[in-house]
Order: sequence, then structure tokens, then C-alpha cells
Amino acid sequence: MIQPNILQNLGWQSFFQQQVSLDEWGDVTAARAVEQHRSELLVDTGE
Amino acid sequence: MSIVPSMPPIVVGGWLLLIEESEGSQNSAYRFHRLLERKGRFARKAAGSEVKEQLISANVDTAFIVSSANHDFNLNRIERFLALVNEADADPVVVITKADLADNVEALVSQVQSIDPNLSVLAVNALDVASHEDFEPWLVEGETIVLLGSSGVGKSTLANTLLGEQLQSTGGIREDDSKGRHTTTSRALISLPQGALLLDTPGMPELQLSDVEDGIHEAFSDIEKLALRCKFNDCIHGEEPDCAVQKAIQDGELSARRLANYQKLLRENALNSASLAERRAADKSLGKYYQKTQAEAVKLKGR
Repeated sequence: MIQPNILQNLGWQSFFQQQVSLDEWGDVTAARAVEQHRSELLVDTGE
Repeated sequence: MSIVPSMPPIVVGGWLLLIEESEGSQNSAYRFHRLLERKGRFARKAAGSEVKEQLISANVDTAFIVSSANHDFNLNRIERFLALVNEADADPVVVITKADLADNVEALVSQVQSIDPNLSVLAVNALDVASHEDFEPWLVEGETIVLLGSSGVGKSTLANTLLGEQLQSTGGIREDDSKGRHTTTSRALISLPQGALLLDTPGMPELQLSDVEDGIHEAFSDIEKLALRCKFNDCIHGEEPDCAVQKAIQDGELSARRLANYQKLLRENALNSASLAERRAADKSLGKYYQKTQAEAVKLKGR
């Protein structure tokens, strides 16, 4: 479930919201890549 | 989350969709679903002589082009960064650091302003805590900002001032030649107390442009507007008669330096972009050769 009010302080914008289809809406969580290492990626879901 | 080869290249700042697995359990695990399209991307030619594009970051709203007021100050370099920022669809803000060390800061600000009168220019002393007030308009919640600039201009010092705490170790530079020590090596997105997100990138010692033609056109829109009035469509603003660009230089409206830098950046971009395209073509034909050879090998075996 995507919760724009939580994601907003991570930089979520309507540009990204428009890319999520209705079918996906309930099943997915959006996350932002915040740190990058050689083989690992740290993501933040705002929760 | 571990990076697996099946995932597309993800850079810091990118948005992705995850699917929650093992619902109900306390430690919810996520599985990568897909990457959302980027709003803009910063890419540069990878360092070294090899022609390869390297993504730096994605989805940046405002880019601060940091330049110090000492002998490292260089308009050509600022214009180079402007082309990159325009290509990434971010808003550029030029920041002149170490304003306390120079006595000609006003002159430097007006020099930058002469590039584009609408450009935002800040002159700060990055060590001064009060200086982050100048940045407030760009530090609102959810805005993603990035500090660009060559090594040693005080990006880490500025980042620490914006953060209000010591997070990055700063190297201190040799003031005699203004060379910094590369102090930033990791790549991360950090939340600032004001609510903005700071994208922290390693120093960019070799900033070579590639595939940023639109960005260059935008950064030098004044020259391109002049060029429309040239007598010849294919005027290269050299010895041609009735060249509007050369006339503007004679009238003092345009500096010869700016025209030279514009032409240099366009040449560099064309060279790097062309060699990227050549590489792709070469890779493709090599792949075809492998396929053909394998198909023939299978045929021979089948006999």
C-alpha cells in the first residue's frame, strides 16, 4: 500500500505516483534508495 | 537489500516498488518489484580513458554548484556544471564558498550573474553556522538537493553546516595550490533538519560531459539566440560575414571566453557521445558474431 503522506518527506512527488498502476497500488510499497554499497542497497520506506 | 544481477541499475535517489512478503510475521521482508522512471539523472563519462557512462544520482530537485572564492574560481567550470544540471532537469544555484577569504567576492558574484541574470548566486562562508539561513528557500521538506563542485571547494564543510553537526570528515586543503584531498567516498541520501534530503556524492575530479547536448543548449541559450540572427544557417561564429555572435562580442555583450567554452563543451560532448554510440555498435556486432559462430558449431555437430 502506497501512503503518499508518509513518503512525502522522502521526496515522493506526483511524477512518481503517476507511474504506479491501479493494479499495483494495494500490493506494493514505495521505497527510495538512500545508500549504496558494493553489493547492497539501503532503501527507506518512510516507516 | 542485496543487489542481484537481475535488477536494473539503481542509483541513490531512485524510487523503487517493493512487494511485501511473509505477511503476518514480525520481520516483514520485501522483494524488489520494479524501478520507477527517473525525473532526471546525473551522469558523467566514467573516469579514465575508457568511454563509459556512469550514473551518479537520480531525482534531484536543486543542485548547488559549489565554487570557492580562491584561485580555484573558474567560470568555465561553472558553465560545465550548469550544462550537467540542466540536462538533469534540476534547478541550479551557484554557491561561492570561502567568501571570507577573498576581498573581491562582489566581483565574482557579478561575473557569475553575467552568465545568466536569472541564476541564483549565494556567497557564503561555509564554516559560519548562520550561512545556512541563505539556503532556507531550497531546504523545504521533501526537496532533494545535491552539492556539486570540484574537490576542495568545501562541499563537505558546507554539508556539515547544513546538517548542523559533524558527519563528514573534512580534509582541509593545501591553500598554496587549492587542491583538496578527496574526503567523500561513500554515496548516500541524508535527511537534513529542515526536511530536505541531501545527496552526498564523492568528489568529481574528472568531469567529462557526454550525452548532455540539451543541457548545453539550455546553459548557453543566449548564444543560441544570437546565432539565429547570423547570416548563414551553418555559421560557426568564426570568420563568417554578418555573424551576430561575433558582433555581440565586439559590442561587449558577450565574452569571447564564453563562446570558446560553449564550443569546447559541444565538441567534448560530441566526441564522448559518439564514442559511446560506437561502443554500443561494436558490442552489438560482436554479439552477433558469437551467435553466428555458435549456430555454425551446432550445425557442424549435427552432421
